[in-house]
Amino acid sequence: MNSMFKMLHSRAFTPIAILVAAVLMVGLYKTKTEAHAARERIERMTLANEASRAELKALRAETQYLESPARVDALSRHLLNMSPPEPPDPNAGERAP
Amino acid sequence: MIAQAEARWRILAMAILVGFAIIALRVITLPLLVDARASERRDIDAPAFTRADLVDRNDVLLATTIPGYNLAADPRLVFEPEKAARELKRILPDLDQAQVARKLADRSRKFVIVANKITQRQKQAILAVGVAGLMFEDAPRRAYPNGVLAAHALGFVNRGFAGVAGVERGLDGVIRKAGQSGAHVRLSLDIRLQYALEQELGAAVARANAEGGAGVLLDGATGEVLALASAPQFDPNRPGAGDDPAKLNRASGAIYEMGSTIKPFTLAMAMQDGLVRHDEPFTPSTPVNAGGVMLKDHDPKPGQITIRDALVHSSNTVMAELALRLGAEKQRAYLDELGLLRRLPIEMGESGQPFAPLRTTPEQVGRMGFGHGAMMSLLQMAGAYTVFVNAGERASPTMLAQVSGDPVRRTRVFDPIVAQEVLLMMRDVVMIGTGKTADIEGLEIAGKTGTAEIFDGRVYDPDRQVSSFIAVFPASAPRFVLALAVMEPARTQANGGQATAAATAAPAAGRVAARIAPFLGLGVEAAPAGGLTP
Repeated sequence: MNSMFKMLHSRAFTPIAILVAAVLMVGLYKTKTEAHAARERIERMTLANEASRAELKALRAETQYLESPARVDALSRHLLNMSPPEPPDPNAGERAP
Repeated sequence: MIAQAEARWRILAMAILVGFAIIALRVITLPLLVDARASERRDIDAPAFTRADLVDRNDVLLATTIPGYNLAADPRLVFEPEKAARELKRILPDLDQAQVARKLADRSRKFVIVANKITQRQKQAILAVGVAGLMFEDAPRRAYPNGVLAAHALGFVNRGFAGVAGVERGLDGVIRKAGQSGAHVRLSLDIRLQYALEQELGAAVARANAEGGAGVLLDGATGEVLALASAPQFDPNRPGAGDDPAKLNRASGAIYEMGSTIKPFTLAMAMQDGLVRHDEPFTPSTPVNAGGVMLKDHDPKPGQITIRDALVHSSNTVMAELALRLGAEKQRAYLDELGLLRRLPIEMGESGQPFAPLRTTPEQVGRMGFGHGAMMSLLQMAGAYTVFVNAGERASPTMLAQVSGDPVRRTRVFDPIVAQEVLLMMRDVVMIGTGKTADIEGLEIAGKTGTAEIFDGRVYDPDRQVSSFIAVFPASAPRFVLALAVMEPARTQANGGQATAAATAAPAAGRVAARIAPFLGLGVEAAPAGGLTP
């Protein structure tokens, strides 16, 4: 306890304490600034990620539209003269009641 | 003096300690606050994109949420309204150029909507033009890239992205939950089978100049709905554009008297309870007395017939006789076990409430034996027919793809031998009876036709019918149930001047089965050149 009082009574304590406080304040400021920058970077990346995800969804939807059976069927008939094979008629010319 | 100085130093030391403690606390809490704010931001535009994609059983995209925008403008900032409208028309062809020019020239207003639902690509093109005063508002939308395909099964959402119809409504909670974790929802549908069913159903409805139609294809072993169609169609991308009859889900939402397609069940009920012998003779030309009401066949087969012939030739009197032997209580219990008396627990917004009289007279029991008086959905009937796939056990239909190896819940209704015997009789229906027009070589289709007159509240209208056909195939190793109905078919030349199931639904079902067989791993004989015309 006595040694602590001696230290507090010493002339060097006040400037040292002020220096430590200043260092801590600078440290706090730097930490906050870096945290803020990191937060903004994360938000930018998150938004970019979400935008990319949305664009991917749109592209996937467009791909599926281009590959949809109705479109492929129409193109096949129009460009390739191809159509689904006709099933055999079980009762050609006959229609039972 | 010294004591006072010590007290001051102590106070100073305490103040410094408190200061350090505050700084330390702040340093510790700072990262936590950063995380909290970030998560708050992420939640802002979440609702639309937290709705999961819908895919078919092969992961083909059926529904998704894509970015979209509304285009607005502040007319006070637009320098050349005419030129701006012309540029916008070039990018957005559906735009009314004159109207937009008028809006952009109205400098008394600060905000006008120019166009809704524009795409990311269109937005980029507009930005590239560089018209001053334009602004974009985020407006994501639910997209169904296959258009009208499977529209009734998928349904659609409202402006708030809540499911309104179809699976979008029936699985609303599941779709939202899956979307939050970035997952998709895999449906039991197979888009290839769905397309074939819709094509052939549409063709059948057109051939018969009918009011509408419905079709269902089930994997009878699991109850998975592989395809579900309703005609006419509508576009779920623009649900407000279609008329209401087109949006009616005739496969699961509407109920009909299914007519003679119920006869295999009446027969199975009687056989299960030992009320009939295979060789027992019946005389269809003799009316059946049902509580004083005489029930007759329209076109009775002369002489005596067995139960097999009764099914093959769709005799009403024989089925009425069997139903009367069974009695009202047992008939109702069987219908309940077949899932025909309760609303089907299907994952869709539309599930028709079946109707059957609670207090049944002998006449009603007899009539229900051949399909009069009870109404249910086509999907319910298809589900009931799974008893012929699963040796007497019924699998309840589901819209969700089942994971391989998962146990399937089934309800036993008939003994395996009874189900097998009735299935073989249904094969005879297709080989030599009313279902001949559905017989496709190689597929061993078993089935039953049904031509039910529509009850208008007072009488049965002979000019308005529901013609249906329900098939189970292949008969030697049953797996699939295909149900197809044509509502109010006309007697057209294309159908040989008839509106019966044999002329409308059965041939259409045969065409569907033949067309989808390769996808199901089944073989079909190829058609000779110049085979069936569409």
